Amino acid sequence: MTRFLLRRLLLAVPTLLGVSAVVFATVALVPGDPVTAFLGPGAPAEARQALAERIGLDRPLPVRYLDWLGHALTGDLGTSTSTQRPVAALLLPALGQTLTLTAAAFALVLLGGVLLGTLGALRPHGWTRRLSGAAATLAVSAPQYSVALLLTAVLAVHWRLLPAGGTHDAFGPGGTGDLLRHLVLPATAAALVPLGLTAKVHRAALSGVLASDLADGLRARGLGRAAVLRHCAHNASPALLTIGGLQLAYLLEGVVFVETLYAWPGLGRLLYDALTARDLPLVQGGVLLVATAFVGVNLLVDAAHAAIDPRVRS
Amino acid sequence: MSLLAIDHLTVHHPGGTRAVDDVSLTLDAGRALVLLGASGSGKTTLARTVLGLPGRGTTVRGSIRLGGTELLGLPERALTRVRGRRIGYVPQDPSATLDPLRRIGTQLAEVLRTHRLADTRRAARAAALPLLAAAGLPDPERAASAYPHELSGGLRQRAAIALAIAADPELLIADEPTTALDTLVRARILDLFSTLRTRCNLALLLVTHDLSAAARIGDTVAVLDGGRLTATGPAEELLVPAEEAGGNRGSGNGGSELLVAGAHRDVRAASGKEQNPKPMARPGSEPSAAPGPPFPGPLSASSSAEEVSK
Amino acid sequence: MVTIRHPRTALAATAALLPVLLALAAPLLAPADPDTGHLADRLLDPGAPGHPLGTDGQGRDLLSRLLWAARPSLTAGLLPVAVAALAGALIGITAALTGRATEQALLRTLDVLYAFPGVLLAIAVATLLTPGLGATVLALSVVLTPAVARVAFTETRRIRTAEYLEAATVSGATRTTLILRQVLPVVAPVVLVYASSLVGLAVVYAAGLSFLGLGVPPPTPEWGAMLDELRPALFTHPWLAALPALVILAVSVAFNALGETLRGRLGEGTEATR
Repeated sequence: MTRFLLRRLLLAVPTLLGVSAVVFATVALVPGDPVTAFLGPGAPAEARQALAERIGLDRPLPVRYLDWLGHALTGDLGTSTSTQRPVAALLLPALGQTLTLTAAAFALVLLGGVLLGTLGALRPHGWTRRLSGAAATLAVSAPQYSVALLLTAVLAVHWRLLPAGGTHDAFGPGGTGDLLRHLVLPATAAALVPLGLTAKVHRAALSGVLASDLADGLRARGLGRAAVLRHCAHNASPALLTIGGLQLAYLLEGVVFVETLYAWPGLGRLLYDALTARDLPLVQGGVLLVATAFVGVNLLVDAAHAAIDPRVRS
Repeated sequence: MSLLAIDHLTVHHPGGTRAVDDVSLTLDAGRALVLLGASGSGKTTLARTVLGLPGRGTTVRGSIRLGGTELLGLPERALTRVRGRRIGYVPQDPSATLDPLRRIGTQLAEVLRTHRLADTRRAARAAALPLLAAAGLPDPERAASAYPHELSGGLRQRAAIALAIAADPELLIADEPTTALDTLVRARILDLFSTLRTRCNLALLLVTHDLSAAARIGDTVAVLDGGRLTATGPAEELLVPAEEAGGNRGSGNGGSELLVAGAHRDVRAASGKEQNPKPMARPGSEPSAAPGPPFPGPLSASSSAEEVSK
Repeated sequence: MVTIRHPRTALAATAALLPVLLALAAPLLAPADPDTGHLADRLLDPGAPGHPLGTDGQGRDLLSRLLWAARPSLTAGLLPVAVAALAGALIGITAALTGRATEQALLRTLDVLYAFPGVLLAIAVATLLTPGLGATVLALSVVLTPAVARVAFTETRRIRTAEYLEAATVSGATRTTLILRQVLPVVAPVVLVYASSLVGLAVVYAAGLSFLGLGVPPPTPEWGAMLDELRPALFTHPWLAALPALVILAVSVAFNALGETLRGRLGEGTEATR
């Protein structure tokens, strides 16, 4: 088990290197000049030259990459050109906010996806299957911003049940209860699409196992419905893990609309602002962070896979 | 009174095809009945219907009584107390029916606890070891802590047998239990069934297309073709070596070909390509393909080196 | 009269066709000019006289704007899918039929594109270009193509090992005729059906880009942009603000339902032939 994980960890290193190179190259080769973006089109040539030298734009690309990577490894991701603040100092709090939102949304995704998927798998021809299928399709089709606006209109504005925006940090005067109240709407809006996908995948996997020889073998032992379902859910869980990992990754980068609508100062919103401001160091750092999180999520999925299935471990 | 009495059983698959057609059979306690037939003859459907698992959308008519209890129409809850507890089931492919994610010992303990044969997890684990030994696993401790994929095909089938006999059933249904195994292991597993039968007074319903298996196991043989019963009778009468039946059938098999005398038909031809080409023998005579004693005395002595994995 | 053999597919197709027809008929159906309004009539709730769905912050008739907005919004949803279907099929089939080196190169490139977060990639491409319909279409094409290419690749690989294709290779068919006569008839339906299931997603993404200000510039009506325009009214007129959100949701559900029934029928078809 430990060896398995170590090997996976080692394999992640070249992936991360590749990702960092692609991130750097893509951002560096993007047309749109950060010097002009920062100083404005009418700036004198000397000022432009000075700035280019200061942020190191006059050196060859590979040198700039190695330099950037070396600094990145020590946690120094450069200085944001739009705010003049260290990139890391901007990214970290945003990451914390996004992780909070993502964790809440992901809990909803797993809970709802498993419930809805199981409901659809239990009876292959019953009305529950149709209901679950229709609900999953509706969820998959529900864009974050639509859900956010509709929920806010009904729950926050019309019935005044929940706050319509902002985060109100958990450590402020409101405490955890206040944070949870602020989380309900954005987490639901972010969760629906991945919830629908998870439900569909889980339903297919669980239906397959429930109709397999394994399920009949378990029934033939005299196990009751609940015990058979437990075994089958266990055997269907690798598919759930894979789709769950993908959805977690999607949530980490994909909540930009929710963050925009609810004024939630997270990573997606920060990256969007950085892109529109052509703040290259911030974009590079942010995308690298997201990509690292992707690789980390994949590692987690692999580890969970190995924990569940002894055949993966050996 | 018979332990198992199947009366005018008809099973329709969802499409309307008749998988089992008006079949009546009886099986006495401690006896063996071989259901012989080609693939698609309905023998597996018949066996699974006895277990109450005929498949989705099938319609079943007739009667199946086990020790006087009518099984057809029993609610699912009552069936779970029959399955495993009164009828053990050995599947064709243990690698598909053993839960790959749980250790063999855990799965055995679960069956014991489900049928309330052990109160605590500890007691169930302790009770699992003798069962594995009875199924002929050479190292019960190791087998109990193994995952199914860590065992060889023969040992895996023995583990499946241990699961089937765990709750001390009266009837054991084995559905093609040896098709996934190679010849040598096959003979040993068949011998294990015979041993268990005499030892535990188990009635055995063996479903197979394999004439040699039928000859090795059966008291009574029932031949199914297209869902219909075409012949029933004592194995000695139904499975007759060719020369005894009078005349070489031109198979060039040195007179060892078996005939289903009662049906006046060659079962080998009916069962097609799956036929095991090895020479066959009447029950009781020395099997030519399997070295070693056909009915080993001590229960644990029947495993051998080729079955032990790694 | 054609009998309807698949009522659910027919229903989904009708639901998906409706917004397209409404978009085409916008000049006939829209009660008012979508781009001009009277400030005196601003933010009228749905049901106001002359404005069945109300008006926006500049007093423009919302029904008219929603109808006209269907044109760029649906274009931005349908066109990238068409581009992605063509480009993806081309890339996927080529990768599956050429030698190992090309295959690996194409696959790895797709992997890199795949690994990049979809929403951010679309935003990145859109920010690089001048905001507008063209930028949205290009951005979404880039995001959707790898997925289609993967489907085309898998399907071509599957039939490449099929016996009839090998027979054709043995008989000396040239690559072009091979692709035209053997591969396309099998791969095209699969790609088309898969692409149809992407339309809903593309409509959602396109409106999302507009919502962020990366789509069609104002005052042209577009669903995502209207979402943004009406957002300030959320607290005073929640129903007005929810209107474009509801329209996008409904269109997305219709296209996804269509894609799903088509996929289900393709699955039945392949099962039946096996």
